[in-house]
Amino acid sequence: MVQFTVNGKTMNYDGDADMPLLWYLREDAGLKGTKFGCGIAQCGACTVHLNGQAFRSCVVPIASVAGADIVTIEGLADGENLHPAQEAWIEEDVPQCGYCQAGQIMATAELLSRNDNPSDEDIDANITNICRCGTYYRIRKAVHRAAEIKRDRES
Amino acid sequence: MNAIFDRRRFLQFSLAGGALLIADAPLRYARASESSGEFLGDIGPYLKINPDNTLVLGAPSPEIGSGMHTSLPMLIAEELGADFATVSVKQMPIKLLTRPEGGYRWAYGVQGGGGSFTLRQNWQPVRHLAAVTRNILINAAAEEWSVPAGELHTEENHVVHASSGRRLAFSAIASRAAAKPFPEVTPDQEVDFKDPSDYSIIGKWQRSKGVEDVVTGKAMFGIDGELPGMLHAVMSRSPYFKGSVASVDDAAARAVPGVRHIITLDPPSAELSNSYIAAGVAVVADSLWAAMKARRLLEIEWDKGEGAGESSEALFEQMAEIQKEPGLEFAKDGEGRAALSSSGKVVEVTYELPLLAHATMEPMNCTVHARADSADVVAPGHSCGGMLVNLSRALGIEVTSINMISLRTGGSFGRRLRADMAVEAGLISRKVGAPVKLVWTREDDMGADWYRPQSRHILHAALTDDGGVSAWAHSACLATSASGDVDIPDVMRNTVWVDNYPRRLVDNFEVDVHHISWATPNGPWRAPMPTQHAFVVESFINELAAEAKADPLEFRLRLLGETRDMPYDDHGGPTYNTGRWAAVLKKAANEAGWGGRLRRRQGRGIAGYFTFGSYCAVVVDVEASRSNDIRVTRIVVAGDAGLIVNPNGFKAQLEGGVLDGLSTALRLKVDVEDGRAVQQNFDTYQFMRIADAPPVVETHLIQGADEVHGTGEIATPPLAPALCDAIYQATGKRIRKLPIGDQLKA
Repeated sequence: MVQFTVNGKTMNYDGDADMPLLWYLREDAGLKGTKFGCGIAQCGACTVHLNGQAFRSCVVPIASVAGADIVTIEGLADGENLHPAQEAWIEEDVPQCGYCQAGQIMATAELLSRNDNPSDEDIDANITNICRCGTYYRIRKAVHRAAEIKRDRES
Repeated sequence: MNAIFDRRRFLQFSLAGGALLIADAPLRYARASESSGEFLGDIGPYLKINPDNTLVLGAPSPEIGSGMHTSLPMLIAEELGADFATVSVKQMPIKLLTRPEGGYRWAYGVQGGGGSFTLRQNWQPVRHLAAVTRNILINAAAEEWSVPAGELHTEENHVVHASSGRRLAFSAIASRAAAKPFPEVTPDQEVDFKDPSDYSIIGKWQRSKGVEDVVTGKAMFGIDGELPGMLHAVMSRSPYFKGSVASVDDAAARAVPGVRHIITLDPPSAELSNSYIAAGVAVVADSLWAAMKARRLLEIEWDKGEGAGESSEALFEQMAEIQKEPGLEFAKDGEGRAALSSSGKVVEVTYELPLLAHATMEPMNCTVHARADSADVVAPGHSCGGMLVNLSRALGIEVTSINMISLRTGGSFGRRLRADMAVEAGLISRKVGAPVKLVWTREDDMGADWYRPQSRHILHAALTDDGGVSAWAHSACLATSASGDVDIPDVMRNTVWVDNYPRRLVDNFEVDVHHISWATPNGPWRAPMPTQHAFVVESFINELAAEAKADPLEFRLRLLGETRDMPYDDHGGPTYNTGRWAAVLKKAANEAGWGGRLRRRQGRGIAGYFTFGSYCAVVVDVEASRSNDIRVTRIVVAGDAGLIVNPNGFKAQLEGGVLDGLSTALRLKVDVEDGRAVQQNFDTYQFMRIADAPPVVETHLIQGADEVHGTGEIATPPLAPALCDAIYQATGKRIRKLPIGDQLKA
């Protein structure tokens, strides 16, 4: 049996230990905001936070998350208050098809947690998720805007 | 502007739970067959006025990322006089009904999508619906207040009598409909449309509907859909195009806990439309993970079939060989190719284009419950008609007995115009007697796509002494999976069309075509013909300009000549306008500072193209390092798609379109070896990431006409030729084969 928390809620799992966390989140916990894109940690559509760090959940075996605190896109907002990245994504109207955007936002939220004013180079080095629609121009603007919102909130 | 109603058209009003429902049926679209493929569609979107005075628009076609669920409610709100923020969108169920006079019609509008026609086809009917509803609300208020209807107008979900300051909410009027039914709209009733100069919503920046759901993970995509009691399926498809299952050892797979069924699935005998179904073995289990795990344990021997031994590299060699002889004459003006020999300077260049995969972010999936005589379907839709028709044929059930829900669609780019995933899910569900959700992995998707086909092009042109073009000859060779009695003009539309630019702009003009049949399936890929043809023609024009020592912009403007309509008997026709084409070129060039000085190892390239009724030009700036690493520093785009509905959405499509073009030109290709795709996932099919995206993508919108055209496919075609000329300016190296890959390192 593996115990961990998802968005603050304690979860117990005693199924197949090999199963990637992604499938637990989507199929067992019913949290479908985390998306399947490639299964080999390339695209980042399945990005979640594991003890505050961004991980690509499609390659994280569920047995390895024992004791971990997991946050998914559904748990990123603080109640009714959206995360700065979510707010910036709405302001810049980033999504087209929208499928990759939860992963992009989770990657951004983690970057902002350790760098509250990322440069373009920081964004290039840290946000490596794929967007097939090519919304990168707006993603970049939204990351900068999210950093600004975050700094404003904290000041 | 007036519109006269179709003779068979009437509005249906009904009250449900205090809300007024307005349905509009049936109005036939003039050109519906172009988008729905199989059917002429009748319109019937609905509009709902809720008791709280908010509005709901029933969207006929799914949201695939092109902003349809934002632009359609904009049209409704504008014409009706509603506050855009109060309009929400509900995806209507996808359903075909039997027509009393025979044949079928859509239950709610044209429920397909694709080919950049969606907005164009729903535009007029949605406007009619809103205009008639507005008149009826005004007439009801006029009666209530005993004032002439002409003194009333609508704004912010109210009917307003300006001179007395009275206001009546739409919902208040709607609630009276129960006591006194609205008059039936007579067939010859005319409606006045709002004057475009009074538009307050159309043409203004509007945020996408549903963005809040996307950023909080609440948006439901097709892959998130469920049917009660469903099982999960994955399928091992023949990796060899047109291969089949020789033998299966499924003992180990069956031992995986949760596995229920393992089925060898032969392609259905029914004739399907646009939907090649691969042979394979399906694993059905209680959970998706159990099915995936078991699939890995299957031991399958494949019969490679007719594609065995085929390779894309050998295909290019075969193309080169076949192109030594003239192909089928496709277009010829003046003396055609023969004029080359009597000219001074002749330029010859060969271009090669690779196979491309669609690789939508949301992998293929479909959930189906196939019963003996009906079916339920949950899917990410695109060509919903294709799904319904093919399911009906494969399952042998009436198409009208299929109920489909289309959830949000994680991209299509043409991939979901094919219904293979739906047919597979239907056949599996039928065999196991339960609802089944079929999910494709990325490897499944890349390995069993219908790819943008491979092509090779030899271009010749003769330059006059003063830098004009006196003769143009284009030999195109295309490989597709069409075999037997191939309809050459139709198949060649993947890469070249008889009316393509610069026909009729050069006196002596000729196009000849070769077609090679092979097993690799092919299909439309975001602007099928233009992405290939624009690269070839616009690259060649850049090379000709260089040969003539002319400015590439001036060279183009001279070729386009005076403003006039040119015949164009294909998608987006019947004509294109040289003036609108020149205008986007000039706009992009001016905004980019065309003609300004560049530093060493910087380059600036330009290209423009006409795609499906719209015009787009791009200017690309690059910098090259000493070792020829290329960095795109800026892209400037100008687009003209007629009436600008939502500038925000239009800009988004231009931004995405050029970045898709950049990503594709940099690294994307599918190689075929021994009749199967080499690239299987994003580690080898390397989409661009944000680090490769230029920090500036500037978009400029031109409203060159009043009618509305598509925006989703127009910016991709001109990107690659502009990029490659910028690279030439910076490095002196010509790219004549895509993708660019490591060619600059050689």
